[in-house]
Amino acid sequence: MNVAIQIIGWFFIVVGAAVGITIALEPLVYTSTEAQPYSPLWTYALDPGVFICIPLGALFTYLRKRGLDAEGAGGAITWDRLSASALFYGFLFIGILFFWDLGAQFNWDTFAPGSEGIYGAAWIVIYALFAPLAITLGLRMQRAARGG
Amino acid sequence: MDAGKRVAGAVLIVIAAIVAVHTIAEPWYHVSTPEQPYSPLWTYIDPLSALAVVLGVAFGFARKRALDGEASAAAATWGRLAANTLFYGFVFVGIMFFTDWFSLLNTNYTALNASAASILWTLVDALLPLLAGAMGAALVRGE
Repeated sequence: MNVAIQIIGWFFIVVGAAVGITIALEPLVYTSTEAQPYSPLWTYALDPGVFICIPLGALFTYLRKRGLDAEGAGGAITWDRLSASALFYGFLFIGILFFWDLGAQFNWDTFAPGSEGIYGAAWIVIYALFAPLAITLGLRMQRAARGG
Repeated sequence: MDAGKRVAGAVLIVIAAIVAVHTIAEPWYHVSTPEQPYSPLWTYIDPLSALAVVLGVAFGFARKRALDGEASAAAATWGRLAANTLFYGFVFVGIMFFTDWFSLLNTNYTALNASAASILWTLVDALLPLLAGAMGAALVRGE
């Protein structure tokens, strides 16, 4: 079980780091073409990685949050409980944005045409939030697997 | 080391003030043209914002790491909450800033359209002064 948690944790760390680094540096190094305005890495590796990480992240953080919420509303605000809630609601927030933006991208011509600016900005906000959330969850899973 | 932190804090506060004041003032004085929709002053302010992000992430990480030694099952302290908020805030704003800035510098990159870039600049320019000001004040206090 611990090995599985460690492997999944590493997956989160690698995808989070790759997304963070690529989204920040891609505009500096990538030359757009009409057919491929952004790097094909997004289509074949990064977006599928994010697609897998978001529901998994929401599930794992929900389980952790539910365990800690058993303390009840009268308990002290512990760091564990605060960070579990922040991670869970963070994954929910970017999950809603991500799947909304994905739907908008596949229905470009029929869904709110002319709002490309919002779609484009939302992608960057999603990735800028996803990277620290995924890396933090991954590191936490590593520590949990080691019994920390 | 303390003197270095105080200098970095003062630098962050000055950058925060410049970005905040210019963000608010720009629509009142700048007349956009198709070639220059935004004030050319940003050419000088953007490198300062980049410096603020780098300083913020570096000092934010050091502060967060020092306070993360506290037991997780213990009550959350204000210092630890502030350190984490500032560190993750700088990471979030930093990613958006460098995406936006690099796409402005590299005209061969066209994936980020003008209105998306505009929305992101507004978010960055509204968030960066808060983060840099708060981090700068903490560093000046020697925290």
